[in-house]
This record gives sequence, C-alpha cells and structure tokens, in this order.
Amino acid sequence: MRALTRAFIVFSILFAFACDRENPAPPDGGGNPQRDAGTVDATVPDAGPTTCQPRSSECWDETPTTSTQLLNACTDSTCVPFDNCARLPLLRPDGTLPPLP
Amino acid sequence: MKRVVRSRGAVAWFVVLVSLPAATAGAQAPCTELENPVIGAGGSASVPLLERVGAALRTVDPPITLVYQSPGACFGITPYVDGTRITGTASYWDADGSQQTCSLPLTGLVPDFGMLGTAGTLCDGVTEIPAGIGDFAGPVTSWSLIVPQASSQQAISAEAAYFVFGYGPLEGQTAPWTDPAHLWGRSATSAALIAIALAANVPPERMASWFPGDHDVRTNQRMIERVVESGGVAPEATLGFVSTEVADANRGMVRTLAFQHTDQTCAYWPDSTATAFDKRNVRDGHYYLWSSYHFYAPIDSEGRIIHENTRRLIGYFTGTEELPEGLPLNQIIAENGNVPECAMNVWRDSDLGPLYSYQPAAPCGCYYDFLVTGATSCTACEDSTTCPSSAPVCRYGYCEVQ
Repeated sequence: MRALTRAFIVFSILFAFACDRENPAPPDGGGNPQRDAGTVDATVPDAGPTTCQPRSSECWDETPTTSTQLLNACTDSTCVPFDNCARLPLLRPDGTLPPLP
Repeated sequence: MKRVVRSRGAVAWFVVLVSLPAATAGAQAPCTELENPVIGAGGSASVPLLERVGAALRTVDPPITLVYQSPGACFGITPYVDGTRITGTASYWDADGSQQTCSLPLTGLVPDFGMLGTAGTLCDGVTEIPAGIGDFAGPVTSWSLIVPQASSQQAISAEAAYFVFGYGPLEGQTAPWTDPAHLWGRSATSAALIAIALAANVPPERMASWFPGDHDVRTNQRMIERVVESGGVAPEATLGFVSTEVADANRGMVRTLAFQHTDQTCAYWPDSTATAFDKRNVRDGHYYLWSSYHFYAPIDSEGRIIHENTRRLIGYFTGTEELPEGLPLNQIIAENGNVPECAMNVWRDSDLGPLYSYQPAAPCGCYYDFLVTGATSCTACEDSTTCPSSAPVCRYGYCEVQ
C-alpha cells in the first residue's frame, strides 16, 4: 500500500530548492527526509493540468515493484532535476510531447 | 524463417570499404593461423573490455587468441543474417595487453561471434535472429550523453533528447544544443545511437539523419575527440554520446550528463555521484540508459555453440564454463566500467524496456562494491560457515544473501 500522499501543493516550493540535491528536501523541514518528500507521481494530477507543471521532486520510499517506482526510489545518490517545462519550448501546453514532424 | 535485409548491398560495401586500406597492407599474420583464434565482429564500445579479456585469455590453459574487428555494432549480427563476410584486418592482444593486427582472408569470413550493445533485431533490416544463431547475454554496459568539460550542463531528459534528436538541433529549440555544427553522432548501426533513440522514442534512422558527413564519427573514441575539439569552440552547444565505459576512461576531457527518463522525477548519473565509478544507479535502476551486451554465435540443435573456443569464451561470460585460472572475469568487467549480471539489482527483458527487481542466482554485489569503491559493508568470509543467517553464502570472499 502506498503510505504517502501526493503533495503537489508543495511542488513549486520544492523545485526552488531542488537543484543539485542529494536526498529530496523535506517539505516541512523535519522528520524523515525521504518519507516527508512524499511519493512519486510523475503523471498528471488527478484533476489534470492545463499547463505544464514541474515534476514532483518526491521519491518512492517503499519497496519498489514497478519500473517507475524503481526509477524514482529514494536513494542517497546525487541527482539533478531537468525542468522540461522551463527548457523545452515545443512541449504542448499540457506538458506532453507533440508528434515528430 | 524470415530474413529481411533492406540494406544488404550497402552493408557489404561498407565492410569492404572499411577494410580496404588494411586489406592491401598485407604484412600482418593471418588471423586464422593464430593460436586458438576466436574471431568476432561488432561495435567499438566493447573493444576496451575485449582488450582486457583478450590479454588474460592468452595466459589461460589452453590459451585463446581473441580477434576482433569493430566496424559497428550491427555488423555483429548482419553476417548471420545476410552472409556478409568480414575482410581486411582485425585486432588481437598479447598477454601484456598490447594490441596487434592480423589479416583476415582475402575472401573474407563469417565471424565466430558477434558482439552488440543492443539486440540485433534493433538493427535496420534485421527483423529476427536467424535459426541456428544463439543470443547470449553478456555484461551490462550503459550509455552516456556527453559534453565537454567546459560545458556547464549537468543533465538532460528523455524529452529533451526527443526534441534534439527527433526534431533536430535547430527545430528542436532545446538550448543550448541547438547548433548542428556541434552535435555529434553515429549511424544507425551504432548500439549507442540505437539505445539513446529508443530512450528518446525517436526512430534510429531519424536520429542518425542529423549526423551527416563527418558528424557521424563512426567510433566511440572518435566521439571523444570530436566532442573535445568542438568543446574548444562552443562548449555549451556541444553534445555527443558514447558507451559509459568509454566516457569513464576519458573523464578528464568529457562529462556524462545525468539522465532523467520519462516518468522520472530527477536526473541521475550512472554512478552515485558525477565523480564516482560505482555504477550504483545502473545497478539499482535509477539510470535508465543501460543494456546487457549480446553475443551472437552459431549453435547446434541443442543450443550449444558449435565452435569450441567460442563456446569457451562466451561460456565464461554466461557462467556455463568454469573460469580458468588467470581469468578474473568479474574483476575485469568491473574495472572496465561494466557490471556483471551477478551485481545487478534490476533487470529488463528487452533493451531499454521496463525494469524489474532482480536477485541474481549467484550474487556478487558485495565483491563488486569492493572492486569499484575499495570498501563494502558486507561481511568478509573464507567460507559460508562464517556468514550470518541474513547473508549465509560466501561468494568471492563476501557473505551474500544466497
């Protein structure tokens, strides 16, 4: 069972501090950094975005069983987010890829 | 059996052209007359690994002379699909690692084995592996998008690669990689290009189309040279790609970009940091750009490799042949920047396909950690009687879980 909640409300705050990080920064400034960083959700929010949104900086802190969970499992490896929304002007307004020309 | 080879003529002519200068040199020993030769063909990424293995194989009993020609990864499968013969010269290695050159027959030969960093079926015109050819998994290699040391770039995403290699540098508008003069690549016969194209969800032929003329650098080593040269002019705009072991061997000149795959929330290097050599993120699935080498060789009706010494060579990698004294294969693999299957914690059933958790049958993760970092948290052992119940099996000097 996924023990953690999707915390999109803190995404923009997290992203401001997320550059060249090791463990994701805890959103509340305390407790277990990996747990507090929340769950992975690289998909769209339930309501569906209308504009491109930076990805969650969260990691998966339980035993990963799927490919996406393995890719995003909490780790003490260094990582650096690549902000697709800011750097890819050809992304569609909702953040998805257009077809190849 | 269906064999579809759209580019058969082009492949054959390419091999002839690549081999022509060497074929006329004529001074080298015949490859087929070396001691117990095993002759392979394929990509240039595996040359550093084969150099180390080839040197060690000269010392085992009985010795093997590993001979290899590297016109491109897909040439490791096309001889078995359309009968393309390799000609010209090939490399082999003395016991001290020094590279030598030998001559292949003027009429060419079909190699004893092919070696590719990706599956042969990803090569243009190869829709399936022919009957009678075995596909054997080798050690894991990974792929690096590289920039010159002077670049400030640290990461790239699969989506960014989609625009750079799918739309092209100009139309893709993915700063700073927007200048075609400083974008370097390979042809669609390159395993590195195929792997990155797969990850970026771009057809390999389309990706290769952005590298006309000398922007197709043809080998991993040449890629390093071009990225360094280009970086002297425009470090931010320069981008290339090689196998990670080649990037690792040239870290003084180029840097591997961290890679953020689709659905991934952060970009990771193959190693735990940009400067480490531990391949932790390859082993645990955080770094997406990896695959196991594929060996291809003719097999009999029972699936055994027909050529005896080729069976020995590939068997050492797959574990079906006992390692002889003088061939510390896992150490060689680790020191070359590759990962043996026994040290992987994730696996995938198709190249660049979905990952799943993996427990090797005879794990060597502790030993691998020690080899690449000089330390491990595992318990050292001489035999299993001294291992704790949580890791009861002594392998390679360390207690493993099974």
